[in-house]
Amino acid sequence: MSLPPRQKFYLTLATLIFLAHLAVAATAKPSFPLTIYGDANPCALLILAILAARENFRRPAGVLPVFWKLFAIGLAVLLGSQFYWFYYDWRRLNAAPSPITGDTLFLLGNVFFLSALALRPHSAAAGRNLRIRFLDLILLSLWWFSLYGYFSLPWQVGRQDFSRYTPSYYLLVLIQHLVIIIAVAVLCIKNSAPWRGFYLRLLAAFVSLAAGNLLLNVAIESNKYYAGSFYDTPFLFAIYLFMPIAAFGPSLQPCPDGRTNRELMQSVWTARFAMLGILSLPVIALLGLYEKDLPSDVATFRLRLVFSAMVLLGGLVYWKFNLLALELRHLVQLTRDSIENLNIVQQQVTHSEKLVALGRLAAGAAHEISNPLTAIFGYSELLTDIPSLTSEDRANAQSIQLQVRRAQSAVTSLRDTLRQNPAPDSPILDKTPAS
Amino acid sequence: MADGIKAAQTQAVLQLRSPRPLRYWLYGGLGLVGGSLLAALLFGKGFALAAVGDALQLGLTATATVLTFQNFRQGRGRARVFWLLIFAGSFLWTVSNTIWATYELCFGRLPDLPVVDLLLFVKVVPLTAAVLIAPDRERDERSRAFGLLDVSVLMVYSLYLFAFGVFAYRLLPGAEPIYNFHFNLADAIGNQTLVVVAGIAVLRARGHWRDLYRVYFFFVACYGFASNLSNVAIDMGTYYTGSLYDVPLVASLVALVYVALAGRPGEQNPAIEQASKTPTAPSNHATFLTEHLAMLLALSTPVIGIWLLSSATAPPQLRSFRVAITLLAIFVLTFLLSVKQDFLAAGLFESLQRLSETYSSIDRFKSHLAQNEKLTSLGKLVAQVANQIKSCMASILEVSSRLTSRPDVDSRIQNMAGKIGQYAQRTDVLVDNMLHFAKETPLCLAPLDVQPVLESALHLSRIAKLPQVRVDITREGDCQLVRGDSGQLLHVFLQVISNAIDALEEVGGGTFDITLRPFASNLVLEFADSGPGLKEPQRVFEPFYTTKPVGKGTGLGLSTCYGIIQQHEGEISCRNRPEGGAVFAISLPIALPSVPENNQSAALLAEGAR
Repeated sequence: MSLPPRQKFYLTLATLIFLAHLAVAATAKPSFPLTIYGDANPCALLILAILAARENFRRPAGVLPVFWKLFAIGLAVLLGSQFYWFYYDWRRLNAAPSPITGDTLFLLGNVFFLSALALRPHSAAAGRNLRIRFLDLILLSLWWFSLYGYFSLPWQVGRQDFSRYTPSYYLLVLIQHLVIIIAVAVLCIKNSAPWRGFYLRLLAAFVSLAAGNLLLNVAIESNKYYAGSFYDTPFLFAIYLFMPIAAFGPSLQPCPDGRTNRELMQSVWTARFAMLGILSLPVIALLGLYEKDLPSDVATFRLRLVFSAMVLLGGLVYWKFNLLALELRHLVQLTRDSIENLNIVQQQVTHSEKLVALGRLAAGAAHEISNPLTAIFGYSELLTDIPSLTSEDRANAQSIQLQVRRAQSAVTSLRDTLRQNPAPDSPILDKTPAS
Repeated sequence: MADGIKAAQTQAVLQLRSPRPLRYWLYGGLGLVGGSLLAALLFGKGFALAAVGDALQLGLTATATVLTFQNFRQGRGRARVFWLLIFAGSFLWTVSNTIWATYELCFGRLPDLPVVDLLLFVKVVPLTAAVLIAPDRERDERSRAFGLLDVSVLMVYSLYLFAFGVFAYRLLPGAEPIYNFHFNLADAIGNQTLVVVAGIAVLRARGHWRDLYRVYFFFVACYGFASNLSNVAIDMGTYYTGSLYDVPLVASLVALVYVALAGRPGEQNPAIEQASKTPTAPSNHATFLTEHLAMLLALSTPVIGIWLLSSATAPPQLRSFRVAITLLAIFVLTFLLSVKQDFLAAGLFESLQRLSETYSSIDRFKSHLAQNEKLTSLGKLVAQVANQIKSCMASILEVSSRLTSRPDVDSRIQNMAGKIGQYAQRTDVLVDNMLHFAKETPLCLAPLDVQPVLESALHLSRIAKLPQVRVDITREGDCQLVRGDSGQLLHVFLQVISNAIDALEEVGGGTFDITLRPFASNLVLEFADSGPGLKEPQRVFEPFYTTKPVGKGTGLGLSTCYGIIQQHEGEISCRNRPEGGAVFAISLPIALPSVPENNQSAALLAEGAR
């Protein structure tokens, strides 16, 4: 596979950055410059990956441009979260920053990746009903944030309780990563080359991302972590992997789905998942009501969050219903019109069928008609031969002859036409010479 | 026209009112109301009065329950759901009345169970929903499900409101007066809503449903009045069972039983079973309203939740209960909405599928039209030529008849002119047949002898002229006239024959046997060829099914035949003979003995074809 020169340049640069990280991690001791360097590494790799993904924006086929845009936005959000840390370390703000911004961004990045995957870029049929699809995606991402807001946020907003915030956040991120990994794995199994290769690379990247993130978290918790160390390697490798995935993007074309219904089924399932997500929120809140030893401000925060989320989600669902109903009405109208159209065409076909049959009969008809005509002509000649004929009757007989000739010439012209372009399936004409 | 409809309506109304049980019930019910009034006036508070009052109420509700259940079981469409909901309401009522009577008569005290209150309130919900479901408007299956879902949302929501505003006070110690007050308020609101909804239904409905709704309205208005009255009386401590307060209640129950009786589907009033189909436009409007109302109500639950959290005045016990039921309501409502979403998606799915199907068949028909353009234009040419010949024949006939009709001419001349006339006539009929066949004429069924048509088809197709093909026609038994259209039948026969020609050509000749025989009230024509047989006999009549090479068969011929024979109320089928070859069997209904007007044209047809 040949790469465009720009993509080649990005890839080389990314490889160099990654190798340099390995070299530095092996040799350097923890220090301030190393921290800055270590923080800058993922940022640089992410920027390169975004640039590489940008090259795919102007693809004409199907949902691919949308896919790459969502992918790039995911990367950009990830970059935002990384840059956040970089900024704090660089400004030597020793006070622990509130983790909310960075963590939210990190979760959000994953939501974008998930949304991009849900578009099923490999399918040519994807991309119908994009508006409804996006609503589903927004519903799902709002749901993720509600979970984050429910389980993690209360421990940061009211009280700075890292001991309860961190584990729940880690767990959420891990679950999110697992969901993405499962989704990519399913896509991997269900597709064949070249999309399988693409999804395999994505799978590797996300597995590495999940593992790297876990490793980072464990290392940070056990105070062994410092920026620029080998602990960064799996995470950096994951980001590095995004680079070739984006770079090889242009070689992929959506392939037609075997069944068009699959596309619809897929969107139905996305909608179901979204609704399941929404349904889970009141259940979680109900179970939370019976949780013991919960500070009342946390409980109130959670309830308020769930209610607000439900208002928001409910509003979106309402909007979606209206869209769906509109679509349905439109479709029903279209169907009605097309059935009418079909009836008209059917009538045309029935009529043309008759003409076709008549055309097919042409040879037989010509023969059938020419026989009595010959007889009439014969009798009219005999008639003119009768000596006792008055001049008036002779004129009559001649007029009969004239009419017969006209009829005969009509039949002859029909025969000529038939001879010039024989009816496609007139077996009679093919077999028996016209007499 | 309008007068006719009106007259029919009045007649139907009379029918609705006239059945015996209804009239009896009207008198009986009035008697019951009068009796309860008398009893309330004559007897003071006591066990006997209570027993009579309880028994009366219980009996009436139980009757309504049984009757509405019967209506539900026999009903159809939306009316079925309507009766189901009314049945649910009556059933809940009966249960609460049973509990009430048991407590009052067996334990000697009024029940103080939350269940009774709940039942009393809740029964209004299905009674309202029954009207909201608009049984007088028929809609397709899907929107019926929608309607049910929307109505369930309303029901769940009202239950939630009851739990939220009334039931919550049960949990508070010492909040009995608040509870009572709220209960009465909720009950009154529920009843008022029901009255308004029923009133709108009366105004909106037409015909028999309007009459039914009128009685229903009377029932709910009476009940609302009675309920408010007795609620106030209970709180004032002046109520006792069987007292004057109960008289309107008895009247309302009588009306309910009347509704159930009047709505009995069956021979007395078939109209109730079916919805009136005339007003279609506002029905969309009605569903639209219910739909959006349901959605907005569902949306309001989390808003209520937020309000709950911000108002700190309520006691914590009350608050936590309310939060819990709010969450529960959100869950149930969201669930109902997701089911609805699934319905919508399914509808979308189905529509899309149907759309793509019609589009693809339009495409196929269009490509078929394009494919057959050549033959079509050839057919048009034949029709043109035929018209030309027809005009020639007309003038020949005119001349020849002029010659034959003159008595003064030579007999030889007359003879010749007669012969010429005969042949011209024959040609004319032949050409007529062709034209008739090609024209888009509506089906004209008339008694006709199929044999000449058959012979004409054989001639036109010239099957007998093919090398190594032997054609045989056998008539078995007395072949009567059939009801048919000669032009259309000619088409069918030609198609079947041309099929046989193809089959025989494939094997280089053979036999083609045609058998005519009467069978039951049909005439059966069997076309048996000794060709290779059919590959898939069950698919032969499918449109676009063809076994012939591309450009030869269009696959529409036999399906058209199928359509024509269906229009004749006959049957066409095909099978393979065990000894090889295919058999097409066409059965046509034998014409009832009447003036065989078409005989002449059939004879002419035979004449022309010879």
